[in-house]
Amino acid sequence: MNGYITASIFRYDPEKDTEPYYNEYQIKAEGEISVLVLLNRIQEDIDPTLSFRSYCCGLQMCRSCLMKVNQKKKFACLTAVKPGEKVVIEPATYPDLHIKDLVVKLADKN
Amino acid sequence: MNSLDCNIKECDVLIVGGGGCGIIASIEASMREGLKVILASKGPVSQSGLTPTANGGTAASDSPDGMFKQMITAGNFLNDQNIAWLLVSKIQNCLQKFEQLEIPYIRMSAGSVCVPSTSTLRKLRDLAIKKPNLELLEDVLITSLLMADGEISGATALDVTTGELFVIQATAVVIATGGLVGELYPHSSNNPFGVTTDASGTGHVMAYLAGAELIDTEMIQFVPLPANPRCLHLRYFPEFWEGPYLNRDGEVIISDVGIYSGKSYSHFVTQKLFSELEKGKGPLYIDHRNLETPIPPLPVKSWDARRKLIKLLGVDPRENKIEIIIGSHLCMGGIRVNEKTETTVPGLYAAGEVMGGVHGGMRLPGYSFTQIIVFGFEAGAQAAKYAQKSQNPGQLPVRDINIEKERVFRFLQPKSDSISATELKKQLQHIMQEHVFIFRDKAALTEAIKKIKALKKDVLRIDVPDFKRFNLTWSRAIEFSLMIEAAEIIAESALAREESRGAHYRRDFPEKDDEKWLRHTVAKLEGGHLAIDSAPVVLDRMKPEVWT
Repeated sequence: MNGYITASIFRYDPEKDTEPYYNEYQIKAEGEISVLVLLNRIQEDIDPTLSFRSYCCGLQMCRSCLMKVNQKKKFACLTAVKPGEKVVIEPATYPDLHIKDLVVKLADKN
Repeated sequence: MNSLDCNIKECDVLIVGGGGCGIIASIEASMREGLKVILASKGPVSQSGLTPTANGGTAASDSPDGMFKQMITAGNFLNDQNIAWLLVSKIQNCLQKFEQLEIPYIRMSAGSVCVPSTSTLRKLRDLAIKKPNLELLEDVLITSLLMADGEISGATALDVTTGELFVIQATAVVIATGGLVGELYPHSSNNPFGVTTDASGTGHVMAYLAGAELIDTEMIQFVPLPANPRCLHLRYFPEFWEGPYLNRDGEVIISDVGIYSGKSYSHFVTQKLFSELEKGKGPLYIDHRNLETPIPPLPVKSWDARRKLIKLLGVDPRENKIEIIIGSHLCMGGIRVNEKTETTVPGLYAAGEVMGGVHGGMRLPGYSFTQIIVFGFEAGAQAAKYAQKSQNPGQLPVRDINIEKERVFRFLQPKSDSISATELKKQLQHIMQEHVFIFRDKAALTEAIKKIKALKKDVLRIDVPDFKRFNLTWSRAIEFSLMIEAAEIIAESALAREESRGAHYRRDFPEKDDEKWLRHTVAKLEGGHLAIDSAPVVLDRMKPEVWT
């Protein structure tokens, strides 16, 4: 089941960019992986400028990895993607509470 | 280098670490009116740290004597008995404090309660943000501790969201930064799906660099973990880990972990499993497909969702044969403190997993939550008392602050011969896995130390893209620069302990040696270099001869 996952990721650093844009990445995967694992691979192996909340309780209990995956709010730790698929990953909120790329300030009620 | 070019925040008590222990300590310290308390956390409080990954099982028996005996015998008498006694004798009192704060917990049996991790953290956070004298600094990474005239005077802090380095001036500092070994091994229960929870031991190392001592860091608990999803530690389901454990050929290696006092957390289990791997009989499995005993009901209703998750992820051993690997879980050692959580540095306190002396040579399941609760309250109270008594925060060491600022920002400068922190971390994890794992010996440990020392030189080559706002690569580089010191300390401590006790097994010294080594290993900084010493264990309440 080896193959590539295509990820289109929302990018915006308000200190550098005039407006948000999307970066597309091809990520090699040996099978189904979670979106959080996918983001880690991009940050570690392909693009060290990508920012996201990498913390993982792995049980969708801490809610820190909440983001939009294909336009729906999901917990990245348990949202799976397969080789051959394409995903669009965006911050949970924008412009409200947005910090950079996929990172938003975690509001006390979210 | 004489003027200070950064912002300063002032407080009486600074708590470092936003997990369960840190937030309890900050609430307790802020009960004293007139004291200003800051809680600094590298992630959002209640949504980062290791606490949310735990299920909340908490040892809390009405019989402190019984708990104490269990802890000391399991710990192979290496626990500090004053610390262990405080833990067992105060847990009921601390649970009453939870009741006063309207934090619910569930009684599971005569000996334990459940303090559900995520809901409790949220409740604690709600309490914390309502305290007018408590300020939460989230997404703030503490990078070093500051000293003045032999006393703690604050810390340098990086606001990860802006990239600003600033100073927190404090009279007392509590280190509650949690785990040491999550990042040091390729597999760890701390990193579900192989994704880091940043349990990188930075608190241990910052305290050590400020002059505190680290004891017994060679005592590392390793545990069996699912290979896929990698390292998702399904600790909620005791029946999962009971066994049988099988090797590649289907031979039973361990039929039931119930015979060991720490069950699947016992080093006897990981030693047996690892021996099998060394014989080339891996991969190893847990297979419950033929078990006919009924699945026990869960003692806590909210865990049902997690049981469903197991099925969803295909790791229910009643349905599938589950491949297992061995990874790091927890370090029994840590910052040397007394039962008041005081370190050897005036004004510096340590509580929770970062403190040493609690578990000796082996930690029993359920005792970590007891530890974060009891010592969270204790450290908050003690640090507040110290701050009230000593009135003036010390002078800020301007020179040290400027040096630290230079060190932190150097990562952003372009390098000619660069390497990534990710690559260096992989190399470090490989060294630890090869030479400082389940079985150790002099040759392997010496080799590890040599390799770690060589790798330390590469920290200056770490390449980080130059931007300030939420630069994850930068945070990881800073943390790696501290983490690698922890690796060296662990390897040197393991080399010093020439015996086998608890989780530490030396092939060249396979027996326990009470005469020479019923002692703590002590790592400290002397003249800018790591020095390993030893110190006697407090045995005032229970002596080994009574046990044997």
